[in-house]
Amino acid sequence: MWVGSDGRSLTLTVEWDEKSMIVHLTKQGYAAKPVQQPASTVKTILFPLDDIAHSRFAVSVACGLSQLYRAALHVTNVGQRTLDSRELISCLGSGAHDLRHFIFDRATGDPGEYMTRLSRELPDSLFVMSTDIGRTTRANRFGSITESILATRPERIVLLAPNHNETAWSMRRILLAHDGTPACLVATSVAAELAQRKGIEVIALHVASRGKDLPGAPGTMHAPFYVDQPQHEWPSWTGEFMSRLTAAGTPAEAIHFRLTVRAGQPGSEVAKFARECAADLVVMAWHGHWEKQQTAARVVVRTAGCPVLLVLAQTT
Amino acid sequence: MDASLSIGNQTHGTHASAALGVPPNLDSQDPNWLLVEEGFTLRREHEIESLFAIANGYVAARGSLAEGCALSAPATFVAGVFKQAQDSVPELMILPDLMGVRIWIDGQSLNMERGEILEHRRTLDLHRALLWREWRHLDPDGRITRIVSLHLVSLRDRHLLLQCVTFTAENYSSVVRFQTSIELAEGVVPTSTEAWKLQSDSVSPTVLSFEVCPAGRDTTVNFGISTQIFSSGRAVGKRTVETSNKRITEHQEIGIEAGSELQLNRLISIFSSREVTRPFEYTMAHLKRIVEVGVAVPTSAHVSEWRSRWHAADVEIEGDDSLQKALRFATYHLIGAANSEDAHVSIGARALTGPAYKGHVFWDTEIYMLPFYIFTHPPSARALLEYRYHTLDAARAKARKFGFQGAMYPWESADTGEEVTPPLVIAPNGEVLKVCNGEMEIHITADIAFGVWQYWEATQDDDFFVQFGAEIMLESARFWASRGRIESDGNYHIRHVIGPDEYHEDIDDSSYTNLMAAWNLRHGVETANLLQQRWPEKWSELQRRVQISEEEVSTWPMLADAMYTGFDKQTLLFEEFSGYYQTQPVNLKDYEPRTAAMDIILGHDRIQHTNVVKQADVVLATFLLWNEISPDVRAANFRYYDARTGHGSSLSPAMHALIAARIGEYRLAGHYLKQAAEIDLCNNMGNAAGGVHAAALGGLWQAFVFGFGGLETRANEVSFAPHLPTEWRRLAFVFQWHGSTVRVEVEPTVVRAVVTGPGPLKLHLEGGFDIDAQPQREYIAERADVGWKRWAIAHSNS
Repeated sequence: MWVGSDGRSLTLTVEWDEKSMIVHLTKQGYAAKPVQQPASTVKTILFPLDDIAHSRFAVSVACGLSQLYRAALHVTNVGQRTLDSRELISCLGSGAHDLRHFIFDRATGDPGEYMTRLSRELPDSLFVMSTDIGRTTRANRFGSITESILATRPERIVLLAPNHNETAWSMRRILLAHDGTPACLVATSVAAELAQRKGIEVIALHVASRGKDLPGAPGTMHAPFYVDQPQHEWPSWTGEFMSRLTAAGTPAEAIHFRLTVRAGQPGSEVAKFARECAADLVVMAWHGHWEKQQTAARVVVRTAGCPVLLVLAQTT
Repeated sequence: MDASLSIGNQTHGTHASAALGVPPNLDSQDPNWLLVEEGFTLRREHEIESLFAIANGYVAARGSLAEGCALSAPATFVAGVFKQAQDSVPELMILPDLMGVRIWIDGQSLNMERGEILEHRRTLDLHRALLWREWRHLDPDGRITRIVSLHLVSLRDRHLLLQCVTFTAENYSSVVRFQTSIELAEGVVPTSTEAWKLQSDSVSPTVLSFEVCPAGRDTTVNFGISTQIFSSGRAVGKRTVETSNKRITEHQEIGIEAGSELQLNRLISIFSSREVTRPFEYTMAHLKRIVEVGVAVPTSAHVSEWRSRWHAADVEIEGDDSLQKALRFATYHLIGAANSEDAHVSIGARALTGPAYKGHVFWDTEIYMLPFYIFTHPPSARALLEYRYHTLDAARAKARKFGFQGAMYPWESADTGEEVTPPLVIAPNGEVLKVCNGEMEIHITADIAFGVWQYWEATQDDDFFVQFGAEIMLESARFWASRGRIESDGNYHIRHVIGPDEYHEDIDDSSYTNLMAAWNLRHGVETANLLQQRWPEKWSELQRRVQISEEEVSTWPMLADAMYTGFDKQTLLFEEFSGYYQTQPVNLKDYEPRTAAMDIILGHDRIQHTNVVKQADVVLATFLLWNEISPDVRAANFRYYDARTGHGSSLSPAMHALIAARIGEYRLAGHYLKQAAEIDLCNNMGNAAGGVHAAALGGLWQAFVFGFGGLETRANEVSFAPHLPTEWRRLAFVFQWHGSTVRVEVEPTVVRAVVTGPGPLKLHLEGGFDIDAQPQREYIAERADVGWKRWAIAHSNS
């Protein structure tokens, strides 16, 4: 019997076959609460893990998101050492209370390919992983397994840079980085769903920037180029930005969005603001262009100081 | 209430436009007259609603989808109808959507978000001010419906709106229900009278009537809506009107056969207590007259009125279709913004096309929009200036409040003429910014005086000048005489101001402000002299009424002469304000390309310490005072400040285009012209969601006519210095001057001019010759090796 941090018991049932071990956690003393939530868009959390000793925070994030989404947690051992399942369960700690079930397996063959195949077999999955899984072959690159998974442009992935001091994660503040393009709608929806499930607000950040590759699809809205009279322009612009942000399906009435605007390089400004506002999760759209060293997404992942959920933009 | 509904037979073919008596299709029209939005992009909907707004200066309707969508923000605006909540500034009231019609087919809502859009196109016919919509839709049940609708807001009969919807059931037979709903909120109440009674024939249909009482005002606005339905087939139906304490809803339920058409005509009348004492009675009587004649007659009258206005305003460009369309878009919205019949309203920053800026009126009405009206429709210009006369008492009160004399016009004004600038704004970065413009951006007073003089000079409308203009000239000059003081250096200084460059607040001696103040003082003197010489009775009356004396006026020339302008004879530059040269230099090129304003990038506090100029400021002064500033000074200041101007105001690019064209910087002029043309029409900026940028549109017109056309006017002379960019084959424009109409055509090798009206007019061609142009004759000047040859008569039109 496993005991949660609140003293209530958990029953662990383990099933296994040649490929994987399935762990069912049955809660005792927990009253079933009917939750008025829309169906979760995430059914499985895919969590490649290479070293428990250095991954307590990542485990906590994976566990937390698994609970929020009411999704299965699929932990895949991709490290050199074969992990002990009891060690893993111990590592889950209090986070295991609300897990519906988790799956623990070991990657066969190339770990990156294995995880990618797994994501194809398990639709509605969300990767949660550290940036440094696998060997780091070049400076300023992530671990080889992380890089190979990113190269397949997963639809949703939470990345954690290995610079977290904390061991436990909880989500109190979501930061949505929004570049004003329609492509960000997917990220808005993801942030909204999480906020709704957690009952918290979303801080939307738009970074006014400059550069040759500024997005410009129809319906895009940047920080205003013309601020004729700030006393009128800002309320008007903010209202319009929020209208577009919550357009088309985002349950705006159930979620409070708060908008803020900064200026500068998008990646570093998002990361800086995430640290300033003590965000627990940054949600942002990405276009799958991971090879450049200084893409906004890479900068945010490295320096935001919290997990970053990348959502593949619709236009790519 | 329930009633059976007899359906009239449609007798004019199958297309809605045929029944209306207007051409059936727009495809054959010149695309340069059409603003077309193909398909549907939800996130652009607010912009589209603004761009496609229809207006006549009295009333306006945004170009919203009749059935609505997730981002619809439909609105009706009536000029001068403001509401005001306690402890807030007045705002132009968003009146109920009059064009909203929901459609139900067999109980299923027909809308863009259910099923598949097979075709969707919105077309604004700029020439006739008709808003068309063509929509073909496959609903989830496989039914294909075709809708063609037409909206107009009559320019001939400003109290009339028309909406015609042709509904075709392509592949099904069904029961169709049209639903109109008016929310009874914010002082909206139904007005129930005999006219409420349901009629059983479509010639005398039910009138849906209601009244709006804006909060904080004793104005009432009355609306009457009458619906007619015609069918191409045999159809019967019923009309139902439901009222609750929340809304009035009218349903028209009609059976329709596959392949047949229904036409729904809605005739809408509006009157307010601002213009008539019994608006409800006027509404009903008006509606009765319109119902009797049907939609075709008022539609034709509307189209005819627009044709007439375009005849006096259109600027033609051959060689650049996108600029041509942008200019016509600008002209369309400018025509629709003004009402020559109402001297108690002016044009807000977004005209009547959206709620942004709360309908407030700024300096840009006089400096950026007014010239369009002065030179194309003087009655509209006069009405705008009379608004300033009717709010003169409020301007006097503001001057007294701040311890000054004369009239200190508000930075923002609404219906009463009082200062209505919001005191604070919270920027999205969380900064709470104090808004000082109401107290410090005082150049608006001189700008209004400038508009008065410009109008009078162009029209020679002595009646206006004596009745209204002169008093504005004197009271504004009086303000400037009290606002500054001669200091120990012997100069007249005006401190603690904000110039058009609003990046620098609470500065001393804004050169724009001081130059315009000096101009105002001098023209105040000239006004006093004119009154004494030509209208002594008026002068006497003003002496009594506003206690002005010759002695007081006699001090003004000295103040104007002593005005500190920051001019340096060595550099030929006007220092934008005292201490500008000590600000931190910023190289704007380092920030290019960018999509955000420089004050966002650098921050509100930092930019105040830099040399980045928000908009045309000194450059604008050199244009307004063109004949008082030498060419080398104009050019030097343009080049100096152009490199330092961030164009963070929508007004700025057009003005830089204008000056660049005049001083021969043609490539730069073309760049700014394009930028100005895209302010509302560019589809990835979201700028126009709260309404079009009316002053920027006025600036665009000025850039073409005063910049590339090179039109300059002096007291008794009209001058041209035309320039065609290499890709343009022809530029043609028309303007009013001293009661005559002058048409000018510029081609690479020839300039043509025709004067109609009383004439003759003295025309001067820069680089060419003068001529006293006789009316009804066409004059031609051909290009010479250097400049232009002498004018010659082409042929007689008489």
